[in-house]
Parts: sequence; structure tokens; C-alpha cells
Amino acid sequence: MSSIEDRLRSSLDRRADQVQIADDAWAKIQARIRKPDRTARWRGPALIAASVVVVAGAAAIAVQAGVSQSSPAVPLAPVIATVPSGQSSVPLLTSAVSSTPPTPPPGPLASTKCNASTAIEATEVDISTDSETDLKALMSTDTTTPGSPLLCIRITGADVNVEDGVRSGTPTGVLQYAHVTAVPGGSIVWGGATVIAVAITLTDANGASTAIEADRLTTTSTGWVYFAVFEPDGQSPMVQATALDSAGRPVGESISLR
Amino acid sequence: MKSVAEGSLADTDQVDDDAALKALFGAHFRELVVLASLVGSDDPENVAQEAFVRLSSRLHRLREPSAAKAYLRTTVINLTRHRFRHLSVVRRHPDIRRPPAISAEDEAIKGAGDEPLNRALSRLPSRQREALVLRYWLDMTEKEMAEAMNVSPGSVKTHLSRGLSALRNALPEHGGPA
Repeated sequence: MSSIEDRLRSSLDRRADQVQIADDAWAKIQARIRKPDRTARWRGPALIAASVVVVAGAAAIAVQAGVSQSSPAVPLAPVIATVPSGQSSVPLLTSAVSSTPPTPPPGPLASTKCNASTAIEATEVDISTDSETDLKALMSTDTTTPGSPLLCIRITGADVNVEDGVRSGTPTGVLQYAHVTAVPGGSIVWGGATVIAVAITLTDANGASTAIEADRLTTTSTGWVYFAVFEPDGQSPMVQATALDSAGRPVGESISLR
Repeated sequence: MKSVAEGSLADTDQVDDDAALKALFGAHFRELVVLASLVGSDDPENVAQEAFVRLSSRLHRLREPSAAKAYLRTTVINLTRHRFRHLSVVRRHPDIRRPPAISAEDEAIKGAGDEPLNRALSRLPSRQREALVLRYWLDMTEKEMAEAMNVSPGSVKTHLSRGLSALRNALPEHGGPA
């Protein structure tokens, strides 16, 4: 009997030999590079299924288009609510998504207002999982602008992902992963009457902001993520953030804002 | 082991980004598609393409040419892991649009070789599966794996050990339950 290592090596090699590459792969890459909307490139048919992709895609679009937290079209007054973990583990999307993104209100996105010294700590969880990841989630709203729709989330983990593969320095306080869904009482309708666009921006230690594109893991020294919530119809759905460990399992209590 | 030509940006250092990217494509694209597939992607070619797209915007910013290969590998791993998480969320939400069906080709690839082992591998946590693929398919050192996975070398050892242990436990002929 071969060892498990030999067996694994052999199996992986055989699977690798089966992989076929499309003849037009290079042409597809070139086309994607030339396409101005990087989010659209990534949002291919095979990748649009998850709601988080859609939400994050909206983030990129919202940030790219510019978003004003004081816009009349953004009447949301933040009220923090903590969702018990028993409920939060099964958030529901109440509607399907379509491929037409919403148009966010114009204006600049003030994305540097949330930080540890000015933010309100809605809830904080510090969980040790049985796997490799410890996550801490801190959620707050922008206190410098009353009525701001900005929702700030910081998730830190000992197990660090770096999106671009080029790591510099020792990663501390790094975003691990953030997932946003709508829960009962709200909805995400992409291009419909009720729209939530989520603007996600990370701010580094120098105050520089970076928009997160769909499916990107991004690291900063502060690890703050900013979510701007827009509701053209005045409804107030709940946005929920759930920290997931590296196996995709929810950890700790989800934190929500309505 | 993989039969992928080792490429270098050294030969293309002085040419434009397109040419450099194309050289990298020729040298590494297939390896990256395979890597994405082995670590669990349901759309490995798309993942590999996206890695090249992302590289294109920062090719000239890499400190050294050899970093491109590491960048591509890490990006593929991160994209696959992220996508994997999304799908795990989708599976918990019946109202969300279903993920795309696995193609016949994907099934054939996943079914190649050792089906019980492949099944056990697919059930491992992402990190453990990544560690096993990087070690036993790409023959990476622990240091290289740590860089590719963005974890410490100690974590690499842990993931490897746990992954192998989980595989043994899943396979009766290696000591697991019959």
C-alpha cells in the first residue's frame, strides 16, 4: 500500500493532466484588460451567483461613481442592532438579483470618518475557532456626520489574506473577510425598486482610501471597511455583516444595522 | 508533477507590459488553471484569467520580475478561496440564485485519478486543501507555501499535518473508518 502522500501526489498529477485550456484564453484576458469596468469583467456568468458578489460589485460601482453620504437620496438614519447568533447564522435574501446595477447618488464618498477613536462600538466579538482563524469584528457608524449612512466594519484575524499576493510588512489588524446580506425585513433588489448599494472602502494608516472590487480581499493597516447604504425608496432594510472563518463558516454574532 | 515551463520576466524585462504578460501567460497560465482546479475552484480558467488581469495593472510595480509568478499563484489561491466562501454562503440560502452547474469537463477532471481521495480532498477546509496541493503537486517548500498562502510557516505545517490526517481518517486503507 502506498503512503497517503504518494497516493495524493499521484492523484493530483493525474487530475492536472486532464485540464484543458481554451484556445482563446489569451484573447479573453486581453479583452478583460481592455474593458474599463473591472467589476464587470469579474462578474462573469459563472461568478455572479453569490449575493455577496453582487453586493461587493455594487460597492465598486458606487465608489467609482462617487457617493455622497449627505445626499437627499440617502435618508437612512443608522440604528444599530445586534442580531443574536442563532438568527444570524441563517440570513435570508428576500429577492433574487438581476444584472443591472443601481445608480448611486452623485458626490464624493467620505470614507475616512470611521476609526477606532471616533466610531461607536456597536458590538465586538472575539472568537477563537477550532480552526486556524481568530476573528474580531467591530462595527460602528460614522459619528462625525449625523445621519450618515456609513457603516464601518473592522474584522481582524490572525490568519491573513492578501488579495494581491504582494505583502509588505507584518500584517496586523487586517481585514479577513466581510460578508453582507439582507435579512428578513429588507431586501436586495439589483436594479429594482428597493436598492441597497454598498460602498466598501478601506483606509490605510496614511488615510488613503481604496475601493474594494468584487471578490477582492484587501488588507490595510487599519482594516476598516466602509459600507454606505442607499435606499431610494426610503425603506430601511437591515444590512447584516457576518464574519466568516477561512472555511467559510460564520463565526461569532452577526452585526446589523437598519 | 506539473509539466509547466518555468518562465521568467528577465527575458521580457525591456519590452512592454503586453509582451511581458504574454510571456507569463505562456509560461504559467496552464499551471494556474490547474492550481485553481485542484484547490477547489468551480471555474478555474476564469480564476486564472482574472489573476492575469489583476497582474496587468501592476506588472510594472512589482519589485522584481520573479515576483510575478508568486503574485499569480497567490491571487489564484485567494480568488478561489473567496469564491469558495461565497458558494458556501449561497448554499445556505435557498433563495439565492444557484451557482453555475459544474461542467462535464470539470466532473471528468475531478473524477480523474482516485475518486475516494478526491472526494476527501474536496471536503477539507480550504487552507488544508491548498497546503496539500501546493506541497504535493507544486512541490513547494514550506517557505514558498507560506508566502503563497499568506500564512506563517508554522501555520503551513499545521495545515499540512491536519490535511493529511483528515485524508487518512477518511480513507479506510490508510487507517480511517471502514
